[in-house]
Amino acid sequence: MMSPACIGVLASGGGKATPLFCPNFVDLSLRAGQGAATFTRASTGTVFDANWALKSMSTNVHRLQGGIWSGSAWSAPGVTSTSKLGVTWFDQNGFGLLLEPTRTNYIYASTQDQGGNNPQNVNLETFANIGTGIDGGACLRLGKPQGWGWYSARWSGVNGVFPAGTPAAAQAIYKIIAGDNPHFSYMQVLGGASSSQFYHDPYSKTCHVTGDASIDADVTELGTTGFIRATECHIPSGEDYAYLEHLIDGGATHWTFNSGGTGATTIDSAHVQVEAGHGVSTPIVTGISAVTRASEALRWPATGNVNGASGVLIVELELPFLKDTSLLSSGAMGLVSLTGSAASLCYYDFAAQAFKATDGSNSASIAAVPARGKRFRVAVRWDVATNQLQIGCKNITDPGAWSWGTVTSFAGSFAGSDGYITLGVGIPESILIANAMILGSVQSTVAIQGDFS
Amino acid sequence: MICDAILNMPDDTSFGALPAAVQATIRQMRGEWPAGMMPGTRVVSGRRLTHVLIDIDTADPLATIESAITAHQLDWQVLAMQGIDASGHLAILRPVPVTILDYLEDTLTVTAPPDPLASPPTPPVIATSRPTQVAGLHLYEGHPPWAIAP
Repeated sequence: MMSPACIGVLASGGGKATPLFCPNFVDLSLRAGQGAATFTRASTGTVFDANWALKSMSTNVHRLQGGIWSGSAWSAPGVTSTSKLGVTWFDQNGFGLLLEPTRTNYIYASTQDQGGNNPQNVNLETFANIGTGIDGGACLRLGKPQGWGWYSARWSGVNGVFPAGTPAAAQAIYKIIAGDNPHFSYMQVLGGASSSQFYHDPYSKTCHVTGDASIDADVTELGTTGFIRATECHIPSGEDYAYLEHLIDGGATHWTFNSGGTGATTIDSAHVQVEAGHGVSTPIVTGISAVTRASEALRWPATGNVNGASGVLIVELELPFLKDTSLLSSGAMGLVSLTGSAASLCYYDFAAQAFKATDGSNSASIAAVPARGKRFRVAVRWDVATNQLQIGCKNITDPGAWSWGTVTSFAGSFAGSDGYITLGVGIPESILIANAMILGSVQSTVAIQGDFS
Repeated sequence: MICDAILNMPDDTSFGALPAAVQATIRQMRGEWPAGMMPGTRVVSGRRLTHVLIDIDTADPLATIESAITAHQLDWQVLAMQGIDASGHLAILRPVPVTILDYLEDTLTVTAPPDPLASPPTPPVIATSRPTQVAGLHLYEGHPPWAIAP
């Protein structure tokens, strides 16, 4: 049973929360100047609709997991959630607001409806833009080879754009149209230090990296449309994802998508994407150049909410960890930015399993190792007893007390009309906000309305 | 106005190492940019291009950002700038000059295909050449293409 998630405010002094953001209350700027949140994204973005068709969302229009997008506005989802993010590590049956960092798709002509020189068929016969892609436009169809062989289409545009050691992620969305024995549809990185690949096995619905069939990537079946979203990631310190390491550090130049091989197959290749950062993000459709989606943030004015007198911001979020261990050395994950007479950042330290401030001051630790897709509650409050700003956190399922730490750089200094509380600044990967509210009074323990379940 | 700007700056510029006052100005303009240099470009004589998004609510955003650069004594130049005004029209504040060609990456041409089934697989043979036309400039999702100076 799903319950609506809300981002809301409480009037000063407490009381029942007035939903500010919720699938049922979708205007984020209803009460500007009164503690209302403002959502920003200085570019368009994409979301899957109820039929798993990829839709473009205008600048500064937020994206929901769940809810119904009419093409111009969100409306109440009712019992069945409809809009989808298509990423397995998010709760596909839950509600939430997506916040993503700046991400760039470095692959040109990602849906191949642009014509031109990419991709180039380098083996056997021709290909054609006769499939219908996830964005409704034409996509590349790689036909079924006659006998043993394969089709290979190639996208370019990844030439030394990532500094050495940069985390990276890749995804492909494609549909198997027909195949006698379609177990050899794969993507491959060519050029650079060497070639390597990962491939999708439609029988087991897993992805594998060449040479190590035990390494699975994520495979998401996009509803009943037949499209499959296969994803992989590379972490510099990891050893499991060598193919992308070649792509990043070896100067790889091309990304290929193959059909056929030992099992002759016809497939529609709807979208390919390679981006820098931890984990894949939502699809970024490209044409003749790399394309960047701007970062997303949710911002409240601090005045009247969290200030030198009182206030606590509580956020319930889902962190889409790709691998429990692979991100432990990745450093900081920004989450809450506080700006005003001073500035700092509340971030999640994967190694310490704690929320910290960027000045290295006291941290608030959570008890357990964060599992993939772990849900947390994090809070920022002004403690009138010590006259200091504090951050707190707990596991969403933990009935115990909050763990609090002091942000020392903000001692007695956070106030002023230019102050803002911003969610999403500095995050390296996508997060899902299920619930957020600002309480107008200081509370050592906080109750939160709604959750993921 | 949300503006796209291509800034020319020293390659060793680190935004995190900029003076606090500069970082504050960038924050006020809600500046953001892809990590590293502008995708599809290269370093030339120790300088690189950065494609930034900024939000400036002034009558002349180009003058505003150039004034800020001067005030902070930064060795940056605004190579190109455009944005969408309040009425939804594209405002070309400074078109992309042809001199950006120097910064564009080499054009890659496959002269021999790869062989994925060889043991080991062989990569494609790729020839490089310098671009002769300004095309394929990096974009933010949904933003209009860059205006190119004649």
